[in-house]
Amino acid sequence: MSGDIDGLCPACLFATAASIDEGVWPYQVLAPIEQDEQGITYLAERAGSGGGGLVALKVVVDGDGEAMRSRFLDLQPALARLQHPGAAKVIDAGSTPDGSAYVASEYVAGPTLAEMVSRRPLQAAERAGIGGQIAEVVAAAHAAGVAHLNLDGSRVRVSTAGGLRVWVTGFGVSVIAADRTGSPDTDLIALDLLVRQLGL
Amino acid sequence: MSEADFPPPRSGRFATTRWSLVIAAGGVADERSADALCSLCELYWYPVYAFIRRQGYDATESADLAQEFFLRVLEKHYFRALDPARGRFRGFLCASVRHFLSNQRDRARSLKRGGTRPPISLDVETAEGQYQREPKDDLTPEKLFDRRWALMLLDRTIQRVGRDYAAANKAALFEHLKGFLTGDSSGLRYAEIARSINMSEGAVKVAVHRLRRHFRDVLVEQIAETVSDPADIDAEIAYLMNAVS
Repeated sequence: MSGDIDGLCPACLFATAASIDEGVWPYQVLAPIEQDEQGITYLAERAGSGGGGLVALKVVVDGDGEAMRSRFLDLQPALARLQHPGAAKVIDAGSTPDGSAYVASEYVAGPTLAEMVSRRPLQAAERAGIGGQIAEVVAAAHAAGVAHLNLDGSRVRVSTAGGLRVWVTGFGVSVIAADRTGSPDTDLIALDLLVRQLGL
Repeated sequence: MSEADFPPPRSGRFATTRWSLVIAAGGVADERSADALCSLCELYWYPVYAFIRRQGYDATESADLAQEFFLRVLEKHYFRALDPARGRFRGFLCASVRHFLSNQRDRARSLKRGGTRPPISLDVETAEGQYQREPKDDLTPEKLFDRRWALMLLDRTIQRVGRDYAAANKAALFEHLKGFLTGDSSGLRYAEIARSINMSEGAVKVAVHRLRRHFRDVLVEQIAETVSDPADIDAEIAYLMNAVS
């Protein structure tokens, strides 16, 4: 024990201990709500929010929480610029207490566009309204410097209570969770496909 | 999300620990605080020995002085007499042995204190062998004390983490992953280790994350035993990191 500890650098061991964030895990998981190839999304509540701070907590299978946290911090300025009410906010990303990787986003209730279309035929005005609102959100995101990269009918939520409202979810999640690269053109192609599916 | 592999080693950030018990009792006022102080001295006696040796005493003198020093520390009136630097046990012990030696230099020592049993068990042969392996540097006794303290703490922490993994039938996993405790996060190494232990790369990253967190928890638990205020733990980690840098 004259220098190294079991072959490990002593100062590095202390540095590792010092670097671990002991912050309190801020979410209470309430229920699983969705599963896809990337992982499971849970409905969760921010601690101390009194039920008002619901989030969609996506736990990513085989994800690297540290790398995701780093990518989130890189993307954070652009995400902060994206202030459109139809864009569900990405809140943070990192590692859960058990080491799994996660991305937390604003929770949006209501059916996805894909579910809505499967339930009933949409009227022409509804289709036009939904298509127009999606296009607005995508344009606002691109103006802020954020590309979605994974836009489809499962990432659009629609509410008709009190008037038609559309939210696009999953902004930046593809970049954060899977380190995907792409350009706004990727979103424009996806938007074109969605508009066609809406029969516009 | 699954349960973590190991339960947190402490309930909350800080429970009653050995040094806080001693401080709260104002020294060795009762059996519990006396036992707590004695066990702390048994854990950390080597830095005291190294401190005395670095002051120029030979091996026999150092062993005798160390025993006498611990006898004094464990006396009931010692805390009142010395007004110890009470925040951290490390600071208290280092200041105390310096004070003790300064009083000893001009005084004939009576090491056979009427047949009193040595207060703690010192393996002098091992200690001297270890001291002889110390780098021939110009560290002051205080710096050598801190460095030895830090290395003993890390050694004990790594051994404890290894035992915890062995108890969970994960000794081989610990051996494969312990290199990541020093912060190497190269993607290539993750992939190599994942292949060698038949895990996915993501699962290895999660396992490394858990290992680092468990290491931190055990280290914090050990440091918490030696400080009186939980707010001192992070500062103590930074101090000890500097002591071994």
